[in-house]
Amino acid sequence: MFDFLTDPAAMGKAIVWFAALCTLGLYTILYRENVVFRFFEHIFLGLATGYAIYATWNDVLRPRWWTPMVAEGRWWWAFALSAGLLFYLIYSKRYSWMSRLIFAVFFGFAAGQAFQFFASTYFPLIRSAINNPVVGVPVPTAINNLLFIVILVSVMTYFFFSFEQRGGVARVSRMGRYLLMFAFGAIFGSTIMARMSLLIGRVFFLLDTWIRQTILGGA
Amino acid sequence: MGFFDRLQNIDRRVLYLLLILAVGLPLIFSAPVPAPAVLPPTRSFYDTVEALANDPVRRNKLVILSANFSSSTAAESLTQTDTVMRHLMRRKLKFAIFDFVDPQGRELAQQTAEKLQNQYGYVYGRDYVNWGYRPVGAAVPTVKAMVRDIPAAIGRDITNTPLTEIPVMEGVKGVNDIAAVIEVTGSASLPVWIGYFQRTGREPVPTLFCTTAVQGPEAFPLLKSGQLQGMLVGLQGAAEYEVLLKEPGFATRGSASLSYAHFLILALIILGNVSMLLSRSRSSGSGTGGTR
Amino acid sequence: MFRPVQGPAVWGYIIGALVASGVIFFLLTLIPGRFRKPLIALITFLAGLFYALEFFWPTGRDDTNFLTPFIDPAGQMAQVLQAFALGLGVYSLVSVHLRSIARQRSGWGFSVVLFAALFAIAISGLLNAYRPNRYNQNVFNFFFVGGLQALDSTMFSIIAFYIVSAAYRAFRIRSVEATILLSSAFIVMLGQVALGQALTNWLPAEGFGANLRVENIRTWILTRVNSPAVLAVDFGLGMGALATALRLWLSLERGSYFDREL
Repeated sequence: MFDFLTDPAAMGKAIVWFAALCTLGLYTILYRENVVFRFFEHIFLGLATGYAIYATWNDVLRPRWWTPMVAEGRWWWAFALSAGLLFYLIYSKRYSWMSRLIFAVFFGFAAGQAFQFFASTYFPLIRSAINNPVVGVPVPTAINNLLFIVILVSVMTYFFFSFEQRGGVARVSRMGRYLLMFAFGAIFGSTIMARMSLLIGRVFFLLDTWIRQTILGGA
Repeated sequence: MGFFDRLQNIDRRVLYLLLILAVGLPLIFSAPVPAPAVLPPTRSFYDTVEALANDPVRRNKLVILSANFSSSTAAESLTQTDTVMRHLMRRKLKFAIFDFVDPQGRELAQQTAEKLQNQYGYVYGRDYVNWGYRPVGAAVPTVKAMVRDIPAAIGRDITNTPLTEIPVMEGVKGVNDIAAVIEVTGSASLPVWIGYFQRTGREPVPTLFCTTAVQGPEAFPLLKSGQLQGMLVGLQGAAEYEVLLKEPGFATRGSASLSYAHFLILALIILGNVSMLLSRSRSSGSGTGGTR
Repeated sequence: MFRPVQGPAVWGYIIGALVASGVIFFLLTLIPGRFRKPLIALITFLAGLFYALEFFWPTGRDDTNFLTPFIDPAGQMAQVLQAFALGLGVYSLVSVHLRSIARQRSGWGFSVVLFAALFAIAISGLLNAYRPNRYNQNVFNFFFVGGLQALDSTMFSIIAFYIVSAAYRAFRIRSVEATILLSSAFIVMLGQVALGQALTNWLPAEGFGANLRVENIRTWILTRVNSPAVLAVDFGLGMGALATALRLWLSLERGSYFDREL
């Protein structure tokens, strides 16, 4: 009865049809709010959560906790279960303070790691920001480098709130705001490309994989 | 209500239909568009992989393919993964799939590898391995541990086999045995590699970035500072890479749709502004005053 | 004491460890309210000190210091504990939908659908991992490729429609700032697609004229105008992140979470 489950061609078609239904089901929201959309929305939530549970067990808890503890006899990993359960005390009124013990470990870790992060990430960035010579280089490079420094300084000035901005500082700050808008325009342009790409992916699936290859049987 | 006012209040579903046509028609009729110009970040990405493959020492090291994305950005990230993986396989470079943002990434990258492996004669375990997913909250402690001892930090692959028993991991101990890190992501996960891995070995590890177009502009300073050796930005970056590989794929086919969708948006922005200005001048001319 | 144990005896040790954990939990409940915050502050400080010292402490010839051997156990512990923390989100989602089903609230049928999908992919994934065969793989692929992958990518692609509508209705030249933003967006959009690039591909590919090709203007905007602006914002963020990290480490951070009485 379930032989089709081992037939790659039949399963391939079933997968494409299911994916097409899911795609069209979610796109019904473009017309207006409806139950078909809500149905597929809940399937999405369920699948995403179920997949996260499976992957977390298969990739993390099974190889890093269960196998070492049970198969390799490293019994002390049982303490990790108790420590992990501390997270869930956040739902208890009486013992919620204890959940902070485990959160504190990760807050501390993140804080302690910040020094290395700052040094490795920002020192090279600061060095490259300073390294923009305007003399002893070809004129176009000098102009570009000067522009780089002007933009960097003016945008930083715009974000400097420690004292009231007046006179020349206010003018530099206003220029910083305009330059920031120029940068935001570039980011907006890129965002358009990102969003269109995602849509192209789905439309390509519907037109090519579903209609042309699966329904019309094209190669 | 005048024509220009009506134009400004056009039903959103008309706009949606126009977008579907702009994206769909070029796919149906295979509209011809010129090949995209290969921009410098894409070129340097390609050149870095080529340099690795041509270096007799580094080509025997392992490339980490960090698949930190989910299906939500698959059109960009999965297309980039596909094209970059083709390049790695064509140049016979060993690689490990790893993921610490969304578990879907390791699954999607594995599917891509399985799709391509017969074409390039790759075998799981011998030529590539999948280290699987680790929770994002443990990303930094894990990557820091990987600096000295990758087999201990990762433990086992997705089939629950110890890394020490997997042939492709032979001779791979820590950061100095890594040829490059290729980060494919739609999230802010690149700083983990730059902050805690890149500069911890004898030499900086070349780091390549496949980013969504949304994040692309934010990463340009890292190219200038030498923290990135190359970058593919969005679907267009993947299309440029396909040009370099001379293997047109989905990115190349989607290039026409991408172009027409862009032109539609530009046209709509112009139309929206023109109708606003005309509507404004009409209303001020007729004395009704007020602006929207 | 911490030596691996083989055979069924390991279960005795595991149960012993869980009992010991229960005793520690009981002892924690005895801690008076006024000592709880200092204890949490101490744990935060020590956890931070570990990574801070490991980074700052001078290393020997083998590039290691006295804390280096503990980096790997800390990594493994973080992986396991963070995996347990995943259940926090799952618990929240499950409890909302279980309540919805139990009280038969409007739309409770959707909650049933959610649970069916959750169990379907989790069970088929585990079956595929523990008993890999074509049958299990196909069933898992049906839910992952046919369901999750399609739904996730579709959900995010919907934004494309909204961005078109927003661009038409809201992207108006009403100020100097908006005009600058629009002009930069225009050039970048033209320069990043093949058809836009074709508008200026009659210009030479090399030499001065090449600078006027739209893709090169776009690259120039991204590397020479956008880069320093982003860098300036990034410097601010970096300083802010470091300052916040210091405040967290030293338990100086203020806010409703940190100020609440325990």
